[in-house]
Amino acid sequence: MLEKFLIFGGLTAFLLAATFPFWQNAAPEDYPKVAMETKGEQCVAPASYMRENHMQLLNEWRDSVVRDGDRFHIMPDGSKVEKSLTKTCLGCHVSQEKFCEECHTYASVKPYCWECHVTPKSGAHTELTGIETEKLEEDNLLNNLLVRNRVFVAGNLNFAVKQQ
Amino acid sequence: MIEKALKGNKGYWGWVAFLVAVILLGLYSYSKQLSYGLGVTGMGRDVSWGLYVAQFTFLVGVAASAVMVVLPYYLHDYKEFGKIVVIGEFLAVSAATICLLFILADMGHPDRVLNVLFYPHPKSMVFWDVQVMNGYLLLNIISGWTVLEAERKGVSPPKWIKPIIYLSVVWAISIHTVTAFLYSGTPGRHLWLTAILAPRFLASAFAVGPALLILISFILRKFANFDVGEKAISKLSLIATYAGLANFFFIGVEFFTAFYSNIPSHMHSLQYLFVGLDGKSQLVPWMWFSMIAGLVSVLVLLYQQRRPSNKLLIAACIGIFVSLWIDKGIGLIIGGFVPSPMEEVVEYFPTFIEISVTLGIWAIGLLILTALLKVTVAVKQAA
Amino acid sequence: MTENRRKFLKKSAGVIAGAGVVSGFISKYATGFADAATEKAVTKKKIRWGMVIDMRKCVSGCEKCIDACHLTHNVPDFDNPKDEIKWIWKSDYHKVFPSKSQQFVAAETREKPFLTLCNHCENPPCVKACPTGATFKQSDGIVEMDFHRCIGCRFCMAACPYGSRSFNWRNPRPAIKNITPDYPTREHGVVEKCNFCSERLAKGQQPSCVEACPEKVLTFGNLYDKNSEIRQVLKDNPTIQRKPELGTNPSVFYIT
Repeated sequence: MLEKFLIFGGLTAFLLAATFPFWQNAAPEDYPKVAMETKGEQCVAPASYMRENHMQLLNEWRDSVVRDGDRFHIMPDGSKVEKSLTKTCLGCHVSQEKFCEECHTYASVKPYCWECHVTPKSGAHTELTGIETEKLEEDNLLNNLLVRNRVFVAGNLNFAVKQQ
Repeated sequence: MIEKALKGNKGYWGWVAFLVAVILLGLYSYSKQLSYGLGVTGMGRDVSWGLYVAQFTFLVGVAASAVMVVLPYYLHDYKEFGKIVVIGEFLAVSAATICLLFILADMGHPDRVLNVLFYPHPKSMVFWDVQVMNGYLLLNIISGWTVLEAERKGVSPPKWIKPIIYLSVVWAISIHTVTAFLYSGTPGRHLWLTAILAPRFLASAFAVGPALLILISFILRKFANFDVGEKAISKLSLIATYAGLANFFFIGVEFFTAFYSNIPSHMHSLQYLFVGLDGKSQLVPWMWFSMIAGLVSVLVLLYQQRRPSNKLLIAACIGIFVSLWIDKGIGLIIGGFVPSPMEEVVEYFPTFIEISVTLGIWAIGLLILTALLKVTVAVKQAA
Repeated sequence: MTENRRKFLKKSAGVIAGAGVVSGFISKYATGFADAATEKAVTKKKIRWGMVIDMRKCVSGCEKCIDACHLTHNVPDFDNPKDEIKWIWKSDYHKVFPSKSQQFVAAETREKPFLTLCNHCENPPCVKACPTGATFKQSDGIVEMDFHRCIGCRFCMAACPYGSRSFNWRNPRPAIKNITPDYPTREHGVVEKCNFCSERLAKGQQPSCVEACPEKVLTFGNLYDKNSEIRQVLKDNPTIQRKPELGTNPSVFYIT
């Protein structure tokens, strides 16, 4: 009888211990409090898409900027913004800490973006927002170089040429 | 079959415990390296590869040298190698494994190692090196294990193993050739930019590998009461002799071309290694020791072909091993970086952390080898 | 979905390209001399960024180009040569041009510190050596680094015949005095080098070293544009490249 008690008691204790993480998270109380306030009106893609796929989008941006020199993203309303986490994303979403970290900490994911990219100070990056600098850049773009170097004149302003 | 590695006397377990202790020290040092970066090593902007890549290069040779027992036994039906052939293959397995570990230890971003497969770039020799090293490791595990398993069961090995063994023969040549190509295709490093590098690598490998197998044979005879046979040992010493001679001939050829042509950039590295350059001469005693010990050992080997003596043989094998370890494991890699492309003579000193990681990886290799040989000896003694 | 499709297309293109490699190999080496190959390439591509360094004008000995570059790109300043990261720096004539004549060189040339940086070679050995494509050549001729992909094997450093590449032996951030937020810093374990300011070129700006130089030592432009200022400079002056015998075809030229 005692043995039975020991065996089943032990088994139950083991099961409870092994499944403890599930129990613990069954009814979490502290959901992440993500700051959703933004400066702009529109996001680079619908919020539902961003919620699930922002990492893929950022990877794709990263590759296209670094490897293909393709630096602009077309917004839903047709305007262009720089493909930039620091300038475009965090120029609009005001805080890296409350927007990115809050959720990442909760989900225990550790992206390595900020090992290298400089974390914008909360709300301090207005002057860097892709949306505002973009127009200026494209005008400056050719003028500056055309004068000195007579760069090829083509209808295509996509200056950063594609990778071979 | 692997359970046979779990039965042993006190000496065996003492040896295993020692290796595990060295491995733990290596792991501790490696954790330091991971958190701080490769700056914990003696490598720097000018000498950007060091002990790790040097060990890798040397050990590829050890791995490739298994072909020196596999080829005579399987292709030429040289029966005397019957007991040593699996040992050769398992030596290759452990050497190839730690080759890969040394590469991993040398990487700044080991977490991204799979990028080599995700973004394959066949123009890079590293791409091919990864393929051939992993392939070779697999081929030798399969062939060694299958043949031993068959022996344990007292049946002849399955037929499908033959093509795999033949493939491993060609593959062995390829791993060291590709490893030589890693270096000999670099346009700015004159010590490496030489067509003789691949043949020289193979020659030194075929001297070191058999020398190591002879030493292992004596160790097994002493500690495991297992004899691979006098004839096998004497044949191995013959192979080591002539491969060693070929190696030193190739080195001589290297010197002739550099110094007779009198082209400064071709002479610089050799000058640094053997007489010193710009007043820096840290490696000079090492290189001379390597040359003299190597040549003397080869001559002793040659001599004892006529008058066999185990003592001389063991001394000569140790001599060859140490000599070629210095030559290939230190001189060749460090020498390639001195002088730098901007003619700077910067010397390299490995740090304690680097040395302990290196020892840890060697200990992993020895542990794998010990376990595999324990199994082999147990099977062969039972048969 | 589109992403997968693109990847698939890229890969199939790779396979087809692989088949083309063999024929390409033969025709490439059949062409023989570098000039013929270069001229053929010129007609196909539109841009190849290059630089002329006119050392005659570099007299004040300021280091404004270096400072500007290092500030723009968050290049750390370590106090020891072992960990050093260099994008553009000064070195001796005989170190920059070891294969050029060293006898009876005018004292002012011999003693002048020469500027040196990545050559953005037409045939970059580093790109060939890189096992992951972390360093690659853009179609505008710039040899670029993808810090996200670099595995830190340092094969490019062994392959570069100019010593233009630096490895991050340790975390660079503490050694950066003023961090420029517009450009990332690096982390330990990746290789870096001069990128000809490709991020500035995309905005229509000149490389920061060129802009910073008060003596107009540096001329930057498109080598494939016959009417560009840089081609004019190349036409009017005898120039040299570093180690031309290696066939790398540097895009950086020197007037000594």
